[in-house]
Amino acid sequence: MATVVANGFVGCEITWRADVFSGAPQASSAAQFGTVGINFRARKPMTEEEWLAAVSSLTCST
Amino acid sequence: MVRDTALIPSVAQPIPGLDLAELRQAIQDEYALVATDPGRGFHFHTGRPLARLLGYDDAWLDEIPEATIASFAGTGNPFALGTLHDGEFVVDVGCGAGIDSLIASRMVGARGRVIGIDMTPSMVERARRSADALGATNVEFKLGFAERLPVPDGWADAVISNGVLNLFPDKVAGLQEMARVLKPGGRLQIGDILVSKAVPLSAKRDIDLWKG
Repeated sequence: MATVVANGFVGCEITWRADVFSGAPQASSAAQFGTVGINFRARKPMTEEEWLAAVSSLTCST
Repeated sequence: MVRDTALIPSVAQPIPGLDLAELRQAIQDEYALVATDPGRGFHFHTGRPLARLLGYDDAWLDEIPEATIASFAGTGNPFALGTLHDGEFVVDVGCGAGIDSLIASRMVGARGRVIGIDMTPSMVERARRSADALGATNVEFKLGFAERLPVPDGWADAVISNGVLNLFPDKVAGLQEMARVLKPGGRLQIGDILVSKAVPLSAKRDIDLWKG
């Protein structure tokens, strides 16, 4: 989600996640990587200041 | 809005050893098959059963040509993230055979507009045929790449996309394009995938894994 914010958005939120690959007709690599389907939303900021505030709130993990 | 991108470290880095042209061609080939032979069986679900799995209302699919429904290969539900309103302008990035664009075209009504964009010619052809069959005049389908959307700056009230962002070789360029075409305050409503385990570089270079 940091990628989304860093590239022009604010208010990024994942609202849903579910296994959408199991039982597919051909074997999938999805489970190998813990892959799930998601819905997410974000918004283009109204101002530069709003976006910079969102960027500054991003945290780095080590 | 002017941005000093030097301030912002790119989170999505290029993948060393991945041939982007080869990747793009492989993805086009895979989704051309979804367009022309959706029943053959893929690494992902397709069609009406998938739409139900993802929470699509059966009423949304009413009158949409079965060929477009059969080629549906999303991973989420952009419409579950908020209603599209009468008169809104919408861009559908990676529209495939057009199912989400056609649903959106009915939500935004005659005063609204929808532009669906896909890089696979057979998908765009299928979407155009379905729009013609429906008599939908507020939607158009364009061949194009997510990294260079054929849409003016600040045109859209909402950008939707479904199961496509994960296929972008350059996610930074794709997201920046989505931001470019949105009006200030415009909405991004995306269905996609999330990977919860570390993906080794060898896997990131494996084009077959990108496809499924």
